[in-house]
Amino acid sequence: MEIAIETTELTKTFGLVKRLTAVNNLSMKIEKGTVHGFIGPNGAGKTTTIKMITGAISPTNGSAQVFGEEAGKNEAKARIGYSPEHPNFYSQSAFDFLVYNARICGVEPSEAKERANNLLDWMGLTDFKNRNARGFSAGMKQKLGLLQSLIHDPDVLILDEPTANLDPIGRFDVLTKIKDLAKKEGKTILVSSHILDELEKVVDHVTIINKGHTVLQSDIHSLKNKFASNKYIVETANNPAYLKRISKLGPAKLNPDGNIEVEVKNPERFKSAIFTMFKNDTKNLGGFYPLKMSLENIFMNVLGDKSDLKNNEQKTVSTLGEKNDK
Amino acid sequence: MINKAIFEKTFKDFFRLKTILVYSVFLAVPLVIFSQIALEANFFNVTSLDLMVEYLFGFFSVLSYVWVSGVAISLLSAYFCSSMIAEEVSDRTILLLVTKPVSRASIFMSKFLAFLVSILIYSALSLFLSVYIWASVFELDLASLMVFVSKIPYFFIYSVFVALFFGSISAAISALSSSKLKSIIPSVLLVIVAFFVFIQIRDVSRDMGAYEGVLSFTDVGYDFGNLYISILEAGGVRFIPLMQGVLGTFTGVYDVPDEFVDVDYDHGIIKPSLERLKYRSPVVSLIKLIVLPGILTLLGLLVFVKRDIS
Ligand SMILES: Nc1ncnc2c1ncn2[C@@H]1O[C@H](COP(=O)(O)OP(=O)(O)OP(=O)(O)O)[C@@H](O)[C@H]1O
Ligand SMILES: [Mg+2]
Repeated sequence: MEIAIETTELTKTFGLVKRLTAVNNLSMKIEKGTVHGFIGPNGAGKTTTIKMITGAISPTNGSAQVFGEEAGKNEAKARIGYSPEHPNFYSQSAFDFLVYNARICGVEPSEAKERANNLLDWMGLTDFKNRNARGFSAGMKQKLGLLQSLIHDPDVLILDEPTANLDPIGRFDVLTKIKDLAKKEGKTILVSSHILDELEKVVDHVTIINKGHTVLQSDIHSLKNKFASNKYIVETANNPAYLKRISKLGPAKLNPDGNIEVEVKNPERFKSAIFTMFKNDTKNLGGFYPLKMSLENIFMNVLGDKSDLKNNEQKTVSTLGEKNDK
Repeated sequence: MINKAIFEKTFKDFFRLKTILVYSVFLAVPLVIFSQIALEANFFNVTSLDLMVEYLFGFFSVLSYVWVSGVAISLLSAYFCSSMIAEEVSDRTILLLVTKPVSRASIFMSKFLAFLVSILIYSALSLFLSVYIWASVFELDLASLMVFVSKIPYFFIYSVFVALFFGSISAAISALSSSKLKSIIPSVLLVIVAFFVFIQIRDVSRDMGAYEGVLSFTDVGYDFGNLYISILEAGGVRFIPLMQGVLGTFTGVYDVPDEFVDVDYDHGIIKPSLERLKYRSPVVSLIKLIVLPGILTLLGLLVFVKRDIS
């Protein structure tokens, strides 16, 4: 499999006095033709990594390569289309902006205009083509940012939160388009997002990073197998109170939603044990079901112990518990 | 090496109607005011037409040195160059630009070339506009007007050096700054120092013997004057002693005697030509005014190539 993007011990430290290592020895490989989800908590270093791959900032250490070319060189940049987290525009129309960007990349004027029109049409922005892009809404800016990344027909798309400002229909639309770009045009896509249930529908690979380095890299299929659920969720009228009793069936804890999450060795035996437990008490049992391993669950699972998220969640859980105890 | 699209956009941005209008007014108002005052005061009301043209041309040369091709063009250059990089950084448009398949050196050079071409056009147009204002206020006849027009190329050459000098300072700072204002301020301060502050301190420091050395080297106003007068002389211009005196006051290039201003020049006293002060030969001034901007531009380029854009 050909590698489209590869980072090797990529490191970025900001600041001369107060040094902050945003990306720390990050190594990852992105295969050609894949849609690769790039996820991690706020401040994990996703945008910083992306900016090193696109050549906007230079690594303090390590390297990034695009189809074997050093990141930042023209040969590397020519193969990348980059849609930033917060795109900014000149005071000019959306159409002129796209034409200008095409021309920078060496596209002839007539061809540039044609591409601009096609892209605006494709994204449904034709009605706004002559409006000043600075006056665009956040969602429209995001869409225009995505369009300019396609203007030189690159092999790789690097999309930093491409749906962050979009309404639900817009998000669905853009994600479908991203999927199409990969499927129909064979583009390699690296996409970062916090909306994991949506991301899950388009990516076939993921890299999870935290505090600047890779925590997990895998294709979705093996990932789901690996995290295949031997866990059940039990919802009761008073979860903290039932936690103790259910713990006898297997290691159990309160999950972030306040429900009981229990590890189960033998599902059949577990089911009958639950039925027995609530036999005379059915109104207190809300329900129980196997834990579905969504990308979001995996994310929580992988980072639950490592990120600062956990502390907050534990706090919520324990206050909930106190309330319930009273 | 030059990206045509970036060059064209930068060039167009420099020729927005608003920029042209604001600059024209900025340039013209002091000229109109000065010429009106001179007219009211019968400043140039001398006996012969030849002498009047001589005076008018001389004063125009002073105005060209200080204002038209001096302060005005240097401020415009600083304004243009500060916007080259710093404005894109503060507007955050630079991120998309540097991630496009075009080298940063090429971005910088395309923009700098657009500045150069624009400032040549602005310089030429400024001179024509100024000559036009001058000629209309003093109602010059065609023959006298041609005296002015024929010397425009020499004023123009001087203008280019001024533009390059102050432009490159702003461009260099612009390459490492995120603020357009911060990129202009050093140039503005230097403009004030070069064209005004040194008028005050040159004579005093020369009398005290403190001028040579650091002060003299910092005195780019002298270098500009040195170059200016040499260029005009090469263009066949000969200033009468009175004009040498006025020019000397502004440029520090002539040895202006203290009692000089007291001489009643309207009575036809013919004074000997003033002595040219050679702190540096014009060639050295020329080299200084080419090498300094060159180094600054190169530094700006290097900084921009290495700079993190986030
Ligand atoms: N130019 C900079 N100067 C100093 N620190 C920076 C700079 N850019 C990013 N950082 C820091 O680096 C860390 C990683 O930031 P980054 O933007 O890469 O995170 P992210 O994963 O994209 O987060 P988010 O999900 O919020 O977009 C943060 O702590 C951030 O404050
Ligand atoms: Mg980010």
